Amino acid sequence: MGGDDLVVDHLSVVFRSRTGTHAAVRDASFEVGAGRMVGLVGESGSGKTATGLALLGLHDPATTTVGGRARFGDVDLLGLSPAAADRLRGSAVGMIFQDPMTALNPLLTIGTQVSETIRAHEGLDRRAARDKAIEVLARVGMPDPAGRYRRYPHELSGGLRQRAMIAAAIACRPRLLVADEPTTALDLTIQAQILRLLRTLCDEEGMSVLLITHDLGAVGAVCDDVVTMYAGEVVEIGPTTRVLDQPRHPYTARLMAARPRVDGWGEHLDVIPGRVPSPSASPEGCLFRPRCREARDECVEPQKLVALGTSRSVRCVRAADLHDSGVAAGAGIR
Amino acid sequence: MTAPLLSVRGLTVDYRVGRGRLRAVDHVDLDLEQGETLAVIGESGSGKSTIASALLRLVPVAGGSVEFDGLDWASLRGAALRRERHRMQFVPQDAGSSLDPRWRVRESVAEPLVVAGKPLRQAREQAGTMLDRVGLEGPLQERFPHQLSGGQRQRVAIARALVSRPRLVICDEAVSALDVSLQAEIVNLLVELRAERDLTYVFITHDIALLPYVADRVGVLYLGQVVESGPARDVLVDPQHPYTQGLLSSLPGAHAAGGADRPVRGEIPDPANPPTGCRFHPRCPVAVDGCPEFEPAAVAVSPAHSAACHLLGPQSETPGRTADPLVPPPSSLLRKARS
Ligand SMILES: Nc1ncnc2c1ncn2[C@@H]1O[C@H](COP(=O)(O)OP(=O)(O)OP(=O)(O)O)[C@@H](O)[C@H]1O
Ligand SMILES: Nc1ncnc2c1ncn2[C@@H]1O[C@H](COP(=O)(O)OP(=O)(O)OP(=O)(O)O)[C@@H](O)[C@H]1O
Ligand code: SF4
Ligand SMILES: [Mg+2]
Ligand SMILES: [Mg+2]
Repeated sequence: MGGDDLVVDHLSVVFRSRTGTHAAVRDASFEVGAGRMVGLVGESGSGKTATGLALLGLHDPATTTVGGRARFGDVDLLGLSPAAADRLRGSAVGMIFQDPMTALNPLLTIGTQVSETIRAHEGLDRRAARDKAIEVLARVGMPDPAGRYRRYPHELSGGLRQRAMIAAAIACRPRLLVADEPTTALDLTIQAQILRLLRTLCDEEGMSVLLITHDLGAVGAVCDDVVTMYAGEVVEIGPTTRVLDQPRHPYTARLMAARPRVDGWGEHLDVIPGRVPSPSASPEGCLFRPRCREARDECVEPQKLVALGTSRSVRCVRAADLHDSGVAAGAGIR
Repeated sequence: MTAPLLSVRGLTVDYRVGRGRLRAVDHVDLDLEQGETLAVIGESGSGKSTIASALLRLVPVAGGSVEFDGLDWASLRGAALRRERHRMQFVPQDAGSSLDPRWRVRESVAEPLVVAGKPLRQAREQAGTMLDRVGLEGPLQERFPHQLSGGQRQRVAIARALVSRPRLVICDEAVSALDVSLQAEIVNLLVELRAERDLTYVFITHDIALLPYVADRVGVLYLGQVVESGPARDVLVDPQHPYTQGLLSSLPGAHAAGGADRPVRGEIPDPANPPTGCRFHPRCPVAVDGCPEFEPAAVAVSPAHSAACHLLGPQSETPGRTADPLVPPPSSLLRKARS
């Protein structure tokens, strides 16, 4: 079963407000091939959600300027009229939102929300749509799906709500799914089940997934490729195994090192000191420089995303020597 | 000996669903000393958030008593409850929906102070300092919630909870939505603030990997009941209840680190229809004949560590489960534990 490629080309997202403008995403380019899963990682505020919302045409044009190009198959995602974008969202393109409560309608039972999507999309009658909806709820690990079908969102625990939202998003069988932190409220076993389900939908139906997450473990488990963002810029792209085993950008390496370990008794977690710079106070040269342990004189020059071999790109002047000395790999990071 | 800051006995909470009733929390006992952090863990739907809501007096309690900070907390009403509420604060699971969308976030953080009678200017100033402390600086404080990223909103919620200097803070999945670096930063911050402000935490999470960094004690919840509780280290290094053992073995790296590879099978049943006897029996890999019939009582395996499982009862020959061929030896999951 064929699918389409998502090609994002020089995407930018700029928020405007009374106090000024804020470039949340700058010049981001990456691809999600048909049937592939790509993890988009980076610290809070790095522009991940802003990227996802831009692809779905969900930014408010009154306050937000989206630039660059994004193409899914032969659809120009950024050039759609609001009505066309709306139609696309209910069918070919889906999104799982970071905040389940804002994505579910509090006045409708979760069963109704999932089955209405199915009815709209597949033209089934009410009964058939109901059966189908229960099936989808079961697939996302909703215990007792027939019983939970009649519950309202506020009657569910946080984790059950998140599963209901995932069910609503995949019910219309999107060919492109933007999943924004889809499993944060879920237990490990259910997380694994959901990630496997998404992977299966990619493998069997050619769905393409952009998985926005802070969970590098999840990325490692299911994603083909990783895109690391920092302060609105893409700083590293490459195949998952290579990027996570041997990060070439010091930022990716530090993200790996900050993960909690099961043997961390009484320790402090390894924080990346400092903070993502605000666009109004961007440092000169590499944006990560003030927080980077590997910084050298040459880092005060602006950094370009440079190809490293055939499938990797890194925005760091030291990428090549970091690899040779092994500093960027897990070993040198404590 | 001082009395514990929080002492919960027999806490029970029911929800009405349709024509029936669902017991989300069933006779829960908890004790928490001043300055400690109690982690409450358990699968989705086990009743963690309901315990939080009950302690915060946001849902009616069907039974039990709560003593908190020297007060008969569960029976406070009306004006008395409003006056004392500031003593217990909350950091919710989805901060996005808990902040007023029409207010700039600094105002949201200042609000509890204003309500408590602080002059507006002073309240704003203090709110600003608190927001700086949790890492939300400068112009970001003047934004509306929808103009912030998910992690930034979560920091606002933490600032709002801490600004009125509560005695107890209940964090419900307060860091699960954050990226690893910020998660680390916020966890470290919570730990620092605990010492700095003499705080006590109830830390609700499904992320067991965080426990070594925050928890002094752990309560493991299954279908509304505490099945195991004790010092965090003891519970995680030497879990006694088959459910706790299963939960821990689902941790990535647990197997490699020597943990028993026996994840919990199946799904948590609907609390509207709980199993008979030991509620865990349909999923328990080591259940014996009596389990579907009799409810197990909590058995102390050490003075502070207890679990409710028939295999730990007096009728089984060994006090621990180590000699039982059905049960693997205690997991040395947390190998490099600090001595
Ligand atoms: N509507 C908006 N108006 C102004 N600024 C915004 C708006 N939405 C987001 N921002 C800002 O843009 C930046 C990127 O936000 P975004 O939500 O994309 O971050 P994120 O990477 O998804 O972070 P998180 O992991 O915390 O969800 C942040 O600094 C945020 O404050
Ligand atoms: N307002 C309500 N009405 C009816 N049932 C409810 C209500 N709130 C929660 N429940 C049910 O009570 C049980 C316990 O829910 P609770 O939210 O306490 O779980 P939790 O342990 O916090 O789970 P999670 O990890 O998913 O947040 C669940 O079965 C849930 O569906
Ligand atoms: S360019 Fe320099 S400062 Fe930036 S990440 Fe690389 S080494 Fe660090
Ligand atoms: Mg986000
Ligand atoms: Mg909850």
